[in-house]
Amino acid sequence: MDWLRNIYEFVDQIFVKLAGLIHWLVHWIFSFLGFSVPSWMPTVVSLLLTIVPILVLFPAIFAWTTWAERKLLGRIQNRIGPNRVGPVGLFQPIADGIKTLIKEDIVPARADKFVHTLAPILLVIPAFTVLTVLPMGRNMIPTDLHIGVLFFFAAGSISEVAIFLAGWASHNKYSLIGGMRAIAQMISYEIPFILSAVTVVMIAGTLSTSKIVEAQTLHWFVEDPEGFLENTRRIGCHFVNNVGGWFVFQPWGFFGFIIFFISALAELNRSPFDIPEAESEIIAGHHTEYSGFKFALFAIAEYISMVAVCGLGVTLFLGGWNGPKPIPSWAWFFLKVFSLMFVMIWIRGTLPRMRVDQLMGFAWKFLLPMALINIFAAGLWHHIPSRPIGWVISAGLLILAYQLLSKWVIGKGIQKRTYRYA
Amino acid sequence: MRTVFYILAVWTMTSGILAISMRNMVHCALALIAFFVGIAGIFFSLRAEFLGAVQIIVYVGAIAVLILFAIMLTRDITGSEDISPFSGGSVWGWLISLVVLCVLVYSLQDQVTSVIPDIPPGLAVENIGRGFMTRFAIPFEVISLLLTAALVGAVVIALEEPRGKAE
Repeated sequence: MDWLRNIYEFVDQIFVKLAGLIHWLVHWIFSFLGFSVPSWMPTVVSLLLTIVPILVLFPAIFAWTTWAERKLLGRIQNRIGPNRVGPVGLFQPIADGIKTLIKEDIVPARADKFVHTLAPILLVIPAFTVLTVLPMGRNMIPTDLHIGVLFFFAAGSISEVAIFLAGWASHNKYSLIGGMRAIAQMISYEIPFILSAVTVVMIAGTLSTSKIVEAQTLHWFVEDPEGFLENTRRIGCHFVNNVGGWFVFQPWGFFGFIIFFISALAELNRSPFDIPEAESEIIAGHHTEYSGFKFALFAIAEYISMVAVCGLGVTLFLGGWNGPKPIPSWAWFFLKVFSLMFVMIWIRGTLPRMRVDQLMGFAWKFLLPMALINIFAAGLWHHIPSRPIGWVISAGLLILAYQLLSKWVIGKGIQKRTYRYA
Repeated sequence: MRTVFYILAVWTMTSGILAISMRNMVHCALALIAFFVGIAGIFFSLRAEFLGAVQIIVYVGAIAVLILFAIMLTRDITGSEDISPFSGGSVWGWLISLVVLCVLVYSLQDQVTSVIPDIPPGLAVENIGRGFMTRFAIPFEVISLLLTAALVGAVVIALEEPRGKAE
């Protein structure tokens, strides 16, 4: 079955091979035209090959995510969603894009023009920058930083400042209140966000995202790779190796993933944590006074951050590009990212908005202690010599912590609901 | 490497000068953010990537936000008062800054080296972590206690007076 393996290798690494082809092509064009290739040429070509696909692919993902969101929210709310503009409304994002480009750009008269323009730009920059540390396939990470995870959080903290500046620069009391609430929420949820990622970094032993993905591949039963094993045993081992190592199947990984996901929803100001941008609460919060393309920049920043954060969740907890064979690694990565985005859109359509004091209480009184206990449970899991007993003990500790914390935070517990009929 | 340093130095110094000389306080804070990013860039160019990332998380993500809140809560909320760095008794401030600059340059002139230590990048982070846990464990714990005390103090200051209690 060697030829099957070769086909899989080719498809799996097709983008890497394409990049190599472009390098060779540039070199050939230069030597064909008679110039000698300057020494900085390979560096520039690699830079362009990294940046241009990201700048082409992710705005397209953003556009069709808005379509998917409107369609899915429509179906959840028992209506159809956009269906006029293209076959299933598929060209709606293009119509939206043209609309935002031709709208008048209104800046309030007493607003600070420079900061008003700077804030959405400052918000989009970290959204795109963090996409470069996500490993999108085997050997397909744009920049392999040794501090990948830390760089992600550093760029994320710039977006908080940008949202506050947007709220402040509009010279509007609702924008200011919205900006302050947004920043309070983002700072509060940043702590469980980072602590749940710290658990993974602690167990994997590295801050580099590509190494964390590699740490989630098991290597069981490889003592007879092309021997005389039956097909089922070989396929089963392959499946276990590529799926069983995901951190989400460990107790600390499971709770860590849930804490990470909830904190990510709050970091993105998405439902049910969208107090800062809720229309029925505060008009539109920090982006009230924005129109036209600057508003589109806010939307771009939110959706691209959504993709980036889902990408980080997939990398840290769901095994990154790991997956059983017939599907190539980059396809697995995007499949997992899109499923997480589907869950985010689903949650938006299902859950009601949280009140701001419930939101803060949830972060500080529940998620933060859970994240700390998660780190402790991960340490226990790592150091108990027999792995199954360690799994059970850390799972038991986490479940106990969850029960105790939820009773303490909620108080008397959830009481039986009484109905009054008019 | 030199060109990178020159670009970063120009960025940092320009934003530093803007941070003290702009008329609108919030613009000063923005220039300060640019300054912190420039310093982080210098850390990155010296291959201290961990420090650069932590600089951005701590300074831009937390301290700059704190400065912005402090500006807003203690001055006119739109920050549109005009303040000039050349007003009144500011000549003493300039003199003291000049003296401090001279002292710093004099004391650092023997320490300046243009050799970047050749540590493999992953090892730098590992060394910091190991140092925190072994040789510098006590300062690490003391800093944690200090931060906890600051956090508790902030909560106590912001806590409302419980009503219904005598005094």
